[in-house]
Amino acid sequence: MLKLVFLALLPIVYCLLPDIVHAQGVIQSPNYTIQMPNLNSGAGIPTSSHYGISTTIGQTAQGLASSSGYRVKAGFQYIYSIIPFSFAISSVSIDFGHLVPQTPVTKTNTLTVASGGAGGYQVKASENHPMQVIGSVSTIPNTNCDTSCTNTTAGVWASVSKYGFGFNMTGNDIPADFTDSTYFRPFADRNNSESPQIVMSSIYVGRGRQSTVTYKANISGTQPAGIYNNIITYTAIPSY
Amino acid sequence: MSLKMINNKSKIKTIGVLFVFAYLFIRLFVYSDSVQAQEVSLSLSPPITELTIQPGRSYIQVFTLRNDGAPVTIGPKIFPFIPLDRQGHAELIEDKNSVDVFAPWFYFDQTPVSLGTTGSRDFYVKITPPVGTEEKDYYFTFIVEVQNENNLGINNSLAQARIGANILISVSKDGNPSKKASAITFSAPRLIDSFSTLNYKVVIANTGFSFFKPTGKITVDQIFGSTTVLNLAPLNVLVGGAREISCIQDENLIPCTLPGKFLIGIYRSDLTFTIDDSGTAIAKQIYTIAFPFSVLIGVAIIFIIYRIIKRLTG
Repeated sequence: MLKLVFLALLPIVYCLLPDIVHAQGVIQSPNYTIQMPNLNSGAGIPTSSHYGISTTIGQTAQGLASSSGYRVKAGFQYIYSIIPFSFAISSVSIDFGHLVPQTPVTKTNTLTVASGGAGGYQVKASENHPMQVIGSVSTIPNTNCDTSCTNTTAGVWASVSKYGFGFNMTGNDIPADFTDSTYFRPFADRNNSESPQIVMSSIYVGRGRQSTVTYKANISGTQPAGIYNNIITYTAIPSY
Repeated sequence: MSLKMINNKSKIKTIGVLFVFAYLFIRLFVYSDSVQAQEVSLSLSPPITELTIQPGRSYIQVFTLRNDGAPVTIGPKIFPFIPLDRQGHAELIEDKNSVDVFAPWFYFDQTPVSLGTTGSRDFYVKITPPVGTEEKDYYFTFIVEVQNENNLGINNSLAQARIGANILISVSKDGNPSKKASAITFSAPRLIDSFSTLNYKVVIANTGFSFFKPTGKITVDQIFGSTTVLNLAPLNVLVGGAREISCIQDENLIPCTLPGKFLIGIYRSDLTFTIDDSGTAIAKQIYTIAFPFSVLIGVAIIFIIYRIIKRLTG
């Protein structure tokens, strides 16, 4: 009987075991203040009623740490500083496979952001160059949609006789010009000195903010044969 | 109690325990929530560092990066940034010349490092504004970048992740840089319907030499009614720029909106704030009138329709 009870409790105990939390090191010298140990493990928001607005988990002193020569505040003391800023991309490889002329191919991945920073976050995107055969000048050009679109303003791209490479976004905190799944933009092209553009942003604290990026490629019958590649860089930064 | 009853009870208990065990087993290992392995999943802490420092002095900030996705190779970088807009977004300046100008300020190990799943890495960044640095603000973002792998597959785009944390540095010899603020905008509709919401817009500009946080509130007095206080969120306002300030409640950022489903009367709204919770308060006042226009319009329409029907049937 006792054995059965023990076996029944085993899974419960396993699930309740906490993750081990590592504290950051403390640096000390006559010229430095004590580096506040930071127990931010990303394990979530503590629910203890002892944490007030101006407290950050693990910090030995609230607010300001001071020493001769400088003052420092690390982390957001007044709002959720317990949630580390996190960013995730599913499926970093967007593989279009063999492209057939006038047969658009779409692939997707998801971007996920959790911002514990005051004022939210932004995610910007850009490409190193248009999809290109390495060592060649052959490219799949950035899309101009059916009539027009830019890296800041999406346009409808539904025609199979309009060629190029672009992306659409759906989900949380996306730009308003992605009206529906037919609206696309080209990526900002760093090779052409174009600045990365915001693809997700919010001014509020959030967890698990998620968007889906749909990549689309369509080629003409005169597209030179080859293996076309590029790199899309997503930069996620919390608001200051 | 007979032996048979005792045995039956014992059997029931045994069955009960087995049932619980079986349920837990199935729940945990068979019908557990699906976990999607994310190829890249990084978190960085702290998300912001605010430093006031004398020229020539040093401070070491530790940034902790954690990898919750597939194993990656990462490399750190630091870029200066400027405010992009009034929502607290940063515009990185990545041209080589601008980055190289500040290279002597920062010392940290830039060697790419591999991180396994659930691995973490502490980056020790020594910040030393050189002697003779002009006393003013300098803004940077510490970026951790996933190193590219060779593109695999035919006709392939590779998504590369970068995650950042902001560093706000005020260089000051006496530790008290001049801070000045002005309320560019404190506005709300002058006339609203009783069933609509009263939203406030607060934009604060920084006209001084160092970033600050506004500490203050909006006090809304309903004439002959109640008083409501909306606390301003202490968001950083950078030098030469402006920030739209939202409100805060229980550590949540919220729009500055007067709560309530039905508003009526005259509302006097007072914005007061100080810089970093010290010094002379800056104040502005506005008025809003809430009136049930929609109700009146609805009654008027009903009355008109009634009169028309009466006339037609009369």
